[in-house]
Amino acid sequence: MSELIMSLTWGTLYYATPLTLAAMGGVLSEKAGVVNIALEGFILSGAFAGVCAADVTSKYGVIISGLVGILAAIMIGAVLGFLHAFLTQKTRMDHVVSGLGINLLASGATQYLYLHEYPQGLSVTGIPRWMFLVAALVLPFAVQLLLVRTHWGLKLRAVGESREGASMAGVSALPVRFAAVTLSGVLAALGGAYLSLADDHNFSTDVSAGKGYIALAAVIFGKWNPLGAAGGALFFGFFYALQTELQIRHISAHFLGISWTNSFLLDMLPYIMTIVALTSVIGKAVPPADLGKEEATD
Amino acid sequence: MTTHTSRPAIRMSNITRTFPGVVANSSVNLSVAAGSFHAVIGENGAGKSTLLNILFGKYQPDSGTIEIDGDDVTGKLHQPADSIRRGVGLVSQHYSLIPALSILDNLMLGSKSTTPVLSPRAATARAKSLLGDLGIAGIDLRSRAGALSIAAQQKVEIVKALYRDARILLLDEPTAALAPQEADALFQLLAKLKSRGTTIVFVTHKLREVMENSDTVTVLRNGKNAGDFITGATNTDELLAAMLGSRGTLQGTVDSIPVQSENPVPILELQSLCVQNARGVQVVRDIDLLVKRGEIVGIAGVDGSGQNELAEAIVGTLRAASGRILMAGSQMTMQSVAERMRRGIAYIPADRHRSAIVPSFNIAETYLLGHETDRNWGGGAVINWTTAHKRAGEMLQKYDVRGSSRGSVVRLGSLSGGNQQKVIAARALESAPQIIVACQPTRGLDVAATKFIHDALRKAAHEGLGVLLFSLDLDEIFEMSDRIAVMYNGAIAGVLARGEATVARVGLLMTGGMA
Repeated sequence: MSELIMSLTWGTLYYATPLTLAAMGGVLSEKAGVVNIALEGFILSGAFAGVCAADVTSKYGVIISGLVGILAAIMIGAVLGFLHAFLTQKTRMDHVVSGLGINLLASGATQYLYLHEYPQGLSVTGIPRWMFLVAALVLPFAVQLLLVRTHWGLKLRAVGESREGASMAGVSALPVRFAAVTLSGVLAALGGAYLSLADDHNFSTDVSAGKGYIALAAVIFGKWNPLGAAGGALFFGFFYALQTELQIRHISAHFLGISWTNSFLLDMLPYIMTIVALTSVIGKAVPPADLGKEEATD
Repeated sequence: MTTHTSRPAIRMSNITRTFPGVVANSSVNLSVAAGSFHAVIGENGAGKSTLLNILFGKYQPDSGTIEIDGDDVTGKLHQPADSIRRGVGLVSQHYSLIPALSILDNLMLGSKSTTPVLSPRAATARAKSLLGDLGIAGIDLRSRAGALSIAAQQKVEIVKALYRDARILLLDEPTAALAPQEADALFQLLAKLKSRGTTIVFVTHKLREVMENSDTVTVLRNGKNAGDFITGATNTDELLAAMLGSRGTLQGTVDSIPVQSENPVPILELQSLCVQNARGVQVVRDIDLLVKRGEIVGIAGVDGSGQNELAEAIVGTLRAASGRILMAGSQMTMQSVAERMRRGIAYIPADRHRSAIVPSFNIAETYLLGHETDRNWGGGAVINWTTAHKRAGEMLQKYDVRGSSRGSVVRLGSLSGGNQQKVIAARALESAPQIIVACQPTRGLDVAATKFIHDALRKAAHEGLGVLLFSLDLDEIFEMSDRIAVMYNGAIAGVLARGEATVARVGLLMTGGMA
C-alpha cells in the first residue's frame, strides 16, 4: 500500500510538472489581460524544438545537447509568445482566435516536420526529470513574489484589470503585456521540453495531448493566483497519476455500473476531473477585469 | 506660499483636435496662472474634457502649442506618463482607480522608483502623511479601491496625483456624482491645496461652483473659446450667455413649474421591497413608495445608493427578494419583464449603450425590439418591414430625431447621444404605458435635447401617466419632481413634497443625515 502511495505521489509530481510550468505562463499572461489558450501550442512547439535541438547536438555530449534543447524550447516559446502578443495587442485579433491559430500552426508544423525529418522516429538522452521538478516547485512562489512584491508585477496586475486606469496612472499596457505573454510562451514551452526531453526522450505527434488547456483550467481553478494554479496542476496531475497506476496494476473498479478498468475510460479521467473541477469553481472565480477585452479605440 | 503670480503654469495656444466627424477643439487657447483656481465651463460637447485630456497626454492635438511652467512641451505629451512626469495630475470624470487593487497599490502604480521591488512600508508612510496633511480621515489603504464610495475614490484620486508630486491638478466635472455636502468638502480640500501653491483647473457646467470657488474662468462653446473672465468681475448671467451663445434665451423658457397632479390614483405601489444584487448583497431595503397618476416622483441619491437595482426590480430585470410590487392595485412582483411591459411599464435605462440600444440595429429594428408581436409596429410572426419603417419614420418626425437624413434605415450607433435618447424615449412613450421608469434620461445630453426629454416626460404626466424619475442631477430632480424620494444606502431616507424640499435638506438625506 505504501508503495502505491509513493508511486502515486511521485507520479502526481511528475505529471504536475509540465502543467505547473505552463500554468505559470497562463497566470502571467491572463493576469496581464491576455487570454492564453495558445499554451497548448507553446507546449507542443517547445517539446518538438527541444528534442530536435538535442538530437542535432547529441554528438557534443549529454550536457551540451540538453542545454541546447532547453535553449531551443525557450526560444521557440518566446517567438510564439511574442506572436500571440503581437496578434492580440497590435492587430487586435480576438485572443481566442489568435490562440487557436497558434495551436493549429504548432500542431500542423510539428507533425509535418517530425514525419518529414524523422521518419524512423528519434531518441535522445535528455535531461533528468528532477531538474524540471525543482523548477516547477520554485516557480509558483517566484511568480507570486513577482506579482505582489515588484513594480513590474503591480503594473502587470494593473493592465490586466484596467488598461485605461493603468494608462491614467502613467503605465502603458503594451510593453507589459508583450513581456508577460512572451514569458508565458517561454514557460509553457519549457513544460513541453519536459515532455519530450525528460519524460519521453523522444517526440510523438500531439504529445501535448491537451495539457495546455488543462494548465489553463488549473489557472482558473486557482483563481488566477500562482499558488492556487500550482495547486490546480497538482490536482489534475494526481488524476493522471491515478489513471496510470490503475492501468498498470489492473485494479478493477466498478462504479455506476461501469468497469472503470477499461483503459479508454481511464484515459478520460483527468479530463473528466477538469470539467468537474471547473464547473464547481467557475461560478466563484473572478477573472482579471480587462481579460480578453479589445483595446478601446479613441 | 505663492498664490497669485502672473507666470502661467499652463499655456495652450490654438489647440485643434478632431475626432471622426467632430471637431472637439478648434483653435482653443487656455492660459492658467500658477497657483490660481481656474474654471473651464461649457455645455456638454463644448470640448472641455478633450482640452483637459490633451493637457494630460491622453489625446494628442492635431495642431497648436502647449507650455507647462514655461517649457514648450508641444509634441512631447504622447501619453499620460509624460504629463505626470511634468507635474500634471488629472482626476477624470470616469474615476480611474483600478477597483480590484488596493488603494496602496493604486498609489504605488506607476510612481517613480529606483528599485524594481515595491516598498509598501515607505509608500504607506508617505500616503499617510499626505492624507494627514490634507485632513482626510477614514481611508484604509489596504482596502480595495472598488469598495470606496464615489466621494472617497475622488479624494484618493487627488492623493494619487499629489503622491506623484503634481503641481497642476486637473479635475473633470468632479462634483457630478457628489451630494452637495460632499462637494463642499471637496472645495475645502481644493482651497487648502491652492493655499499651498497648487494650480487647479476645474471643469464643470455648474455656474454656482464657478462663482464661489474660482479666480478665473474660460468659457468654451462648440469647441471654441467663448470668453475669458475674472470671476470677481463677472456674474452668472454673463457666463451663461457666453456658454449658450445665441441660444442663451433657451434657458429662460424652460418651464420650471411642474404640473401638479389632480387625480391621485395610485398606479405603482412598492411595499417593503427588498432586492439583492448578483452577489447576494441586499442593495435595496424595505422600500415603500407610491406613484400616482399624473405625478412625477423624483428619486435622488448619491450614485450607487441602490437606484439602479430599484429600477431594475420595478422593470423586472432583477427579482425582488421580498416585498410586493403592485401595478394599479394588482400584484406584479413575480411577473416577467414582458408581462410587465404589456401591463404598461415603460423603461428608459440609465446606461443606454449597455441596456437600451443595439448600435448596429437601424431605427425601425430598434422600435421593433419589445414590440416584436405588435402589428402596429410591423411585428408578428412575419415582420412587416413596410409598416415598421413607416411607423419608425413617423416617430422620427414626432420626436424630432436629427442626423438621420436617410430616415429609419440609419443605424442607431451613428446617431448622436441626444438623438439616440430621443429614439429610446419615443419607444418608451409610444408603447401606451401606464408608468414610465426613467433613469438618468438626460445624462450627457445638451440643453436642447434635455429640454425635449423633460417636456416629453411632463406631457406624459399631464396625460395621466405616472413617472418615476431616477437622476443623479439634483437640478433635474428639483425641476421635474412633484415629490422627491431620497435614497441612501438602499433605503428611502425620506420623501419630501415639492414645497418642503430644499437642496440642503435633500443633500443631508443623500448623505445619511436626518432632515
